[in-house]
Amino acid sequence: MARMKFLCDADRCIECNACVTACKNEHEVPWGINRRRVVTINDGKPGERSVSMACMHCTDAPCAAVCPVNCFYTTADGVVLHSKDLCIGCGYCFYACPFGAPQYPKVGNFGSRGKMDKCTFCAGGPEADGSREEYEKYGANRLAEGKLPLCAEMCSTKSLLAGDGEIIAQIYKERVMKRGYGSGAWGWKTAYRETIES
Amino acid sequence: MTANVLGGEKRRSGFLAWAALLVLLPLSISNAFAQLRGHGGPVRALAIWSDGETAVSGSFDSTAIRWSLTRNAAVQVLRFHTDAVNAVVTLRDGRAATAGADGKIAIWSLGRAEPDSVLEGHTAPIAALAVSPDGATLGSASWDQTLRLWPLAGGAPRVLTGHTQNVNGVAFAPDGALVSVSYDHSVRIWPPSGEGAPSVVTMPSPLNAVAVSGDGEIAAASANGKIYFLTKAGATAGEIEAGPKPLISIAISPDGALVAAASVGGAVAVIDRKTRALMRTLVGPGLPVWSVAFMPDSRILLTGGADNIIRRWNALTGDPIDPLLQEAAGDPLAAYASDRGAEIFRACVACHTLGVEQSNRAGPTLANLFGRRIATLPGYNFSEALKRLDIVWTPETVSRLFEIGPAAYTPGTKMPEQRIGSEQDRAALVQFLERATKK
Repeated sequence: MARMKFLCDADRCIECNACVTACKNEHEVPWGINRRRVVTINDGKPGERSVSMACMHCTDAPCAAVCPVNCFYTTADGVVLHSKDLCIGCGYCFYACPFGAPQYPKVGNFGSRGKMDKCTFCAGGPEADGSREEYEKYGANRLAEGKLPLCAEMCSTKSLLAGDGEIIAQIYKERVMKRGYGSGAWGWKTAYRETIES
Repeated sequence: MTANVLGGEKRRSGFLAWAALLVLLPLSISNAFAQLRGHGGPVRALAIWSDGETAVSGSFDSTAIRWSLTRNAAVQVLRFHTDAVNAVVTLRDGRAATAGADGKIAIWSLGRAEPDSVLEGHTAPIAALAVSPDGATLGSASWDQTLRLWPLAGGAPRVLTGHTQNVNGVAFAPDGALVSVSYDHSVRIWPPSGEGAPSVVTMPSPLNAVAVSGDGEIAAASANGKIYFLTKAGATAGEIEAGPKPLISIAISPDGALVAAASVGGAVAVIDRKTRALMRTLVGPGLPVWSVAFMPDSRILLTGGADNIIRRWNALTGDPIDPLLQEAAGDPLAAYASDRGAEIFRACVACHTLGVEQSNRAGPTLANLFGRRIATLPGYNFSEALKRLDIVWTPETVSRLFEIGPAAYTPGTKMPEQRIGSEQDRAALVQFLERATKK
């Protein structure tokens, strides 16, 4: 089975935020939070670079290491998901994520903790694939329909790639060889403990 | 946005003193092991008074504990917060401040069972506290994306806005400038006067903690495992990878020579600040280390983590000072493998224990739960709202609790909202609790 991964080619991102909007709409992500965001480093200065960030579905995911109730699990595709039934909203996973993926929905009065929300790689959650309960808690399960994450499909410059890790790494390698430069597949080493050799 | 003085509630004060005594009795038994044990949840924050004899810790169990470092014993349990205590700091006048996920800051005089005052205004959990160099101002960082500067002499706080995500860390520079770090990747350096726009430096990864040295250098701990150094003006001044795991706490030794940074993987990196070299890595039980603090001598380091214990280390040699350092945490539900009820109960284990020999955590122990009236377990600080309820815990009432949720069934509870929609799952949970909580 393929190991699903994201790859953000920072040399291509134009900060259009299509990925953010596509995700928000596809999953009806609640007001006030985004599962994906675009971060710009050195904004307006030489070396400016934008990257599209969300859960990278890390190998040996650090969020899982800090969760006091073990609500995280990894699917056969290598996608890191969590159970909102188990999550107690403690927020510890926020500190553990190198990509700022976990989000904290504001619900009700102060003190009533929300369940953590994050990118699912469009793979839903523990409920039955495609069920209404799954959609309400986690959003669409495109993987179960044979589709890939919508954020990458909507990326106007194909900066953001999603899919079988070996295939998207190969695409990136070919790009770097053809254009003659590459600042690295952003976050790849942090998430997957490996580099892409071109 | 008000500072409430809570001086005169003698009845509550008496109850808390009694409750604290109950907690301290078992703590004193553990003195022989020299480690600082007593919290019923991860130790999220640590601070040490300048005499090096007393420390204060904050925990997920919603308490803070004042410790005697000369007697290796808990001196006082500070009970006020209704959620995890995320930050503690010592004040110049000898008092302490604690802040929690309940969004409140409590100021404590030593020995008093109630806080002297409570500072309210944040609308989300507070993640960090810092005291200004002149001791007159308390800075707080919150997940409401703001910082607040509270005059300790009283008066309204100044609210600093600009971060676009949770603010995780705050520290004061020697010149009074405020430094904050956030989940939005940015370090912001706010002018000492409080007027004018801050300098903003964006990093490649979310930032979890910050410390400022006596000469004004800024060290920001990142979720990508790196420490980023900045000058007091915000210019980059080097970086070092402390390890492969996200960093969650950082401290600079009082003499400025060492930086200690702890990670979710349980390793604590000790770094030579001058050469930016990793001197050694302290290895504990492998559980997240949430807090680090140097003793005034800059030689001894205290760490607090997910094993609920405060440990001491020789920062220069890397040797542990206390015995019994390696302990396997173990899965408390291992004996119930393949039990559906135990699987559902996994959401409860961070806050509740099951056996009579196990202590309270953020929530009361569930030992001998059935047949007990709500909010009557001795030794646990129940809220007044729960004490007024007329509920006896039975299979039916526990099932109902999770059918409609704690907020509706037990209004005023601090328990996180959990509902179990499936009748079969509720039945499995109740059956599991009947087996696991029996005398």
